[in-house]
Amino acid sequence: MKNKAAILIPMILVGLSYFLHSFTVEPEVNYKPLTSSENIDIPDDVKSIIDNKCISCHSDESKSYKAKMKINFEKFTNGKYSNGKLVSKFGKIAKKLNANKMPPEKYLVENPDKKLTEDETKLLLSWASDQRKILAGE
Amino acid sequence: MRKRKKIFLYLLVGIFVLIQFYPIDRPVVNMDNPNDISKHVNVPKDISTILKSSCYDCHSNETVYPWYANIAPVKWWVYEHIEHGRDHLNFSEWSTISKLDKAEILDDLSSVVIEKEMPLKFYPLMHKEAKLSEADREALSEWAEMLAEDLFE
Repeated sequence: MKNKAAILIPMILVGLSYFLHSFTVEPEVNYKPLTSSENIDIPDDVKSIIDNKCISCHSDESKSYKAKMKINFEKFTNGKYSNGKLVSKFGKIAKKLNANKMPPEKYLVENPDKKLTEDETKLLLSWASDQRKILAGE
Repeated sequence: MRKRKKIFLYLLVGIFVLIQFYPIDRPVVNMDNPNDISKHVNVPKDISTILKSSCYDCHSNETVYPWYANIAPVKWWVYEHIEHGRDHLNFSEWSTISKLDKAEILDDLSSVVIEKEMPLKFYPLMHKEAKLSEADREALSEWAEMLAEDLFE
């Protein structure tokens, strides 16, 4: 009798959590699309990658505090990041992409369509390093 | 039973004494640092005080070792932390760091103090003066942002 309970209770709990999870609806959020600014040039192809695959976590509206604290693409163009800050952010983008760390593995499990293709990664990388050099005056 | 306890105790003491002889390099202390950040950029008095009391033990060459930091096994852990801290950021070598690296360091500095990732949690337990107030954190972060702004004007 005791054994049965030991198996059943966890099973019920797991089942219940799945059941409840299916009722949580993700709120619709309208992300502001990215625009170029006087400091930064964002070509259309780069912009579309960021708008599609990055901005939902890396913008003011993001639910992930950590993600938007580390990189917030809105601040790239609205003047909230100083040039020094931007140089750092572009450096960090390059590091993360080179290490294959973005988008995070865990996020891709539920959003496989957000994975960056090899070409997209290349494009973002060359964009980031170019912008960084321009900002740093190199 | 009593005898066993005694042997165990002797063994512990023996091990404690023995590990003191295990050779390990202590991160070098140097108080004369011409490349120190304070000699190259404007570090206001209050910021300088915070840096010295909360950061410099691990992020400069001016480490102050408390007596227990030189006793194994504590010293293995302390030395490792100091080396690691200096690797990430050494205020004593500020002028030798490239502008690009400075930009990233300042960006990290402002976020880790606001996020309370630094100083590491255990550190103020042994160094009461290292505890940062909310106002200290804001001040440090603002100062770092200002330095970052000045980097590429």
